[in-house]
Amino acid sequence: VSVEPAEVFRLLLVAIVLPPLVILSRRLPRTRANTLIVASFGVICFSYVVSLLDGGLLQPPMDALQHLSYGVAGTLVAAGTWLARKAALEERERS
Amino acid sequence: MTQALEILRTAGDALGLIMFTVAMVMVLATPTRNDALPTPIAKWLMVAGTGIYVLVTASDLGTHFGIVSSVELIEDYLETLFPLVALGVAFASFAAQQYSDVLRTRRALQQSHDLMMDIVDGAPAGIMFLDAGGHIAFANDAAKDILDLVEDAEGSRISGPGWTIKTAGGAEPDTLAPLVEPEPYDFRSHTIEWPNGWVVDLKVSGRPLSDHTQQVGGMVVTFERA
Repeated sequence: VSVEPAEVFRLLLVAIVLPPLVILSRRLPRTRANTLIVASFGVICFSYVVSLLDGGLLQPPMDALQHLSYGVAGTLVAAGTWLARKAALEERERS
Repeated sequence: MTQALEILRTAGDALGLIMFTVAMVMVLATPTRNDALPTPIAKWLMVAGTGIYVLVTASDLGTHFGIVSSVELIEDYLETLFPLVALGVAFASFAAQQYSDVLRTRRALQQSHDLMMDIVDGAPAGIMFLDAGGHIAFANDAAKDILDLVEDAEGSRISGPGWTIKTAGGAEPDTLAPLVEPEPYDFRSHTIEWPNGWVVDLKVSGRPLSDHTQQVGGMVVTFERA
C-alpha cells in the first residue's frame, strides 16, 4: 500500500477540524438542507479514508469507491443547496 | 472486473463534476442576508468548497481521457484546503445564526415594551416610576393629567407645578418623596394641594423597586382620584 504524504496530511487536518465542525453544525437549525450538506462533508471524509487504502490489490475497488464518493457527495450537496436556495427565496418573499 | 471498476470510477467523477457544478450554481444564485443564512461569507466559502471539487473531478476525468492539465499537479493541495473551507462555512453559519437569534430577541423585547407602554399610557389610573429621592422618572398620560405634570424640552425631567403633598405625618412641599417606602402599600389616602389652593384627594398604591443591593431604588406608584 503506497501512501501519499498529502493524503495523510489531509486526513490529519480532518481529524483536527472535525470536532469543532461537529459542535458548530449541531447548533445550526436541523433543516433538511443542512443535514444533506453535512452528510456530503461526511462522504468527502470517507473518500479521504478510502484514498489511503488504494494501493496493491485493493487499488481498483478502493479507487472506484473514492471517485464514486465524489458523485454521492456532489449529489448530496446539490440537493442541499437546492433546498437551501428554495428556503432562502421563500424567506425573502415572506419578509 | 477491472474495466467495470474503471467505468464506476469515471461515472463517479462525471456525476461529481455535474453535481458539484450544479451545487456551485445553486449557491451563486442564492440570495444572501446579513441577519440569516446564508450570509455573504458563508455563501462564498460554499462556492469555494464546491469549486474545489469541480476542479478535482474535472481533473480526474481529464486524466482518464488522457488530458493532463496543470490542475492535476495541485489537486491534492486543493483537496487539503477543503476541510478548512468546510470549517469556515460552519463557523460563518453559526455566527449568522447567533446574530439572527439576537436580532429576533431584540425585536420581541421591543414589541413587548411597546405593548407595555400602550397599556400603561392607555390606563385611566395614574402610573409613575419614582426614584429613591421621590423624583418622577416616568409618568403616564393619566398621571400627567391628574397632577399637571410637565416634561422639560429634552423629556428627561418631569416636574409638578409646586403642589404640596399632605400625609399622615404632615405636609411635604413640591416632592413625592413621602410616597417612596420600603414596603408595598395599597389605597392609601393623600391630599395634593396646588399653589392656588386647589385640592385633589388621591387613593395611592405603591410597590418598591429594589436594586442589586436590596436597597429601595424607587417606587412604582399608581393612583386615582378618590
